[in-house]
Amino acid sequence: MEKTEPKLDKIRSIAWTLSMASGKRCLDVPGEYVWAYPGSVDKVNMDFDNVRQRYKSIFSSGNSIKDPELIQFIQKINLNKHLLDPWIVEKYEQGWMEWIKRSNGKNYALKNLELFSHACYSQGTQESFLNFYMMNRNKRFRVFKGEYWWHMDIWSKLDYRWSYIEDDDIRDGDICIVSCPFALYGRKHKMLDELIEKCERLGVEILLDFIYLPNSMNKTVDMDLSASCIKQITFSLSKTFPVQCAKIALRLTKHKLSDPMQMSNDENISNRLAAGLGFEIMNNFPLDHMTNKYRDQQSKWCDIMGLEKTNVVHFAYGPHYHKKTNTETNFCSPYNVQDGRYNLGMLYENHKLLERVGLDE
Amino acid sequence: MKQIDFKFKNINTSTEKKPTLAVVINDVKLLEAEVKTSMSTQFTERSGNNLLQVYFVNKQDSDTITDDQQNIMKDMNFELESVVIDGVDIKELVWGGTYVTAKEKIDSCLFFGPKGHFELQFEMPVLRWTLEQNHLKNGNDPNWQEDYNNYTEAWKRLNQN
Repeated sequence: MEKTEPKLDKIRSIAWTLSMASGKRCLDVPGEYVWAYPGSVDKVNMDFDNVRQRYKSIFSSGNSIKDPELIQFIQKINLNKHLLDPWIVEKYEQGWMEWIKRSNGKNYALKNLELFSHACYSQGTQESFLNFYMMNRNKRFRVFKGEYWWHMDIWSKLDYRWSYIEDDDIRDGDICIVSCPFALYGRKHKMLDELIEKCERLGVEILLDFIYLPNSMNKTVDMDLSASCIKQITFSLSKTFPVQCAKIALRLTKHKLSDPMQMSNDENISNRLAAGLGFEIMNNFPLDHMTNKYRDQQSKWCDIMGLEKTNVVHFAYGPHYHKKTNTETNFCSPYNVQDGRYNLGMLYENHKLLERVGLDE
Repeated sequence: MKQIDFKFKNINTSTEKKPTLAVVINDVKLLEAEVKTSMSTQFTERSGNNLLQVYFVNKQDSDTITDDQQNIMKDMNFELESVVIDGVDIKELVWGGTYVTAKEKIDSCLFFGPKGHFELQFEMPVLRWTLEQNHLKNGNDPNWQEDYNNYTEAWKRLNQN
């Protein structure tokens, strides 16, 4: 990673300003940030506690850049027509596979992708994860530290066995999930190749979560998927396009699975509105739309704030800007330790506002 | 001028007479009116210490009706529920006030029963005061001053542009 000096005062000023602008409803691109609810038509959220709460979490989420071009496109789509199309989910699934293949070799390289011949619509990757949990509930789940906190939180709530990969060897009876690029710092995890080798040797399955792949660059994801331990991989539009609440995702597997999600798919009762929306986006925008459009913005804002660029176009990495008190817990979940990851999306979206108030240099 | 908003609850009467209050800030009488659930007025702030006084203006002995054993059967009274100064709800800090009667001073009393008045010292800017007081009381907001400065800076930035 490039060596840079974090400009914490600047980061704080930007965070406070965006947080207050959200409550004041004067963002260039309004909208919510996860854990950072904005003002609304009925309510201006300007009181100190509210603004401070948003300030603390303003860079936290993994959500997509609210690209105005995409927002405008999405708002004009007539989705209802897809409810009447019995083939839309299948078209969506095929569209996804072609879409991934079209860009393969540019920003990322997935070798032997064609081995994953079975596609299944997933109501967000969370549905794939839940099915993975259920079907492997007697195994011990393994993740790297800094992985998407939802896994650990759900396993803890369900009383499933789990352990960080760093804390114990991979053993027979384990099962792994790894995001790639890795959720915490927007690059391929440095231990992933080693983990795949171990899992292959021990017959331990790994689910690879490619949710950040469309926004990844510099071939940080350059891998061979032929290892037999990699049986399923997941993709989503949620972190790439502003459709995170539409739950548009896909699971690809080498062999057709028999689980609740596949059953719904086979019954043809999957969400046609979501599939239709995904299909329309994929037909009109390339997978690397955001990386093409915002790569320079990432460099600019990393320079302004003294953060390290990651290989995901809307992420930067650096020390956390907010001093947590002893009594403060992690946002949303005790397993959410993604404080060092900065989502730069709202800086790209609100660059005119930030320029107007003198925070863009 | 700054705004101050009050909420009152449990407004009781013993006869047809309604309770009346007067709001005084820094020795300036700002309002005298029948007690309603929501009341507001405006005041001229002093930088630093300010004194809020809310007087129970029309309470008399005859407003308290008792039985032969001096048990109160009916009374004219009310309770202060909340105070918002310059848009900032001072929340629990309202309990830092005192109810003053001819006979005694009762700390942390929001009940307007006997004839007397409620008084509370506060500082302007009130947001700064609430953050400081809450931290002094609970010790759980060590960054309050920096956060306050950043908040006011962001406010200025957005309102100047």
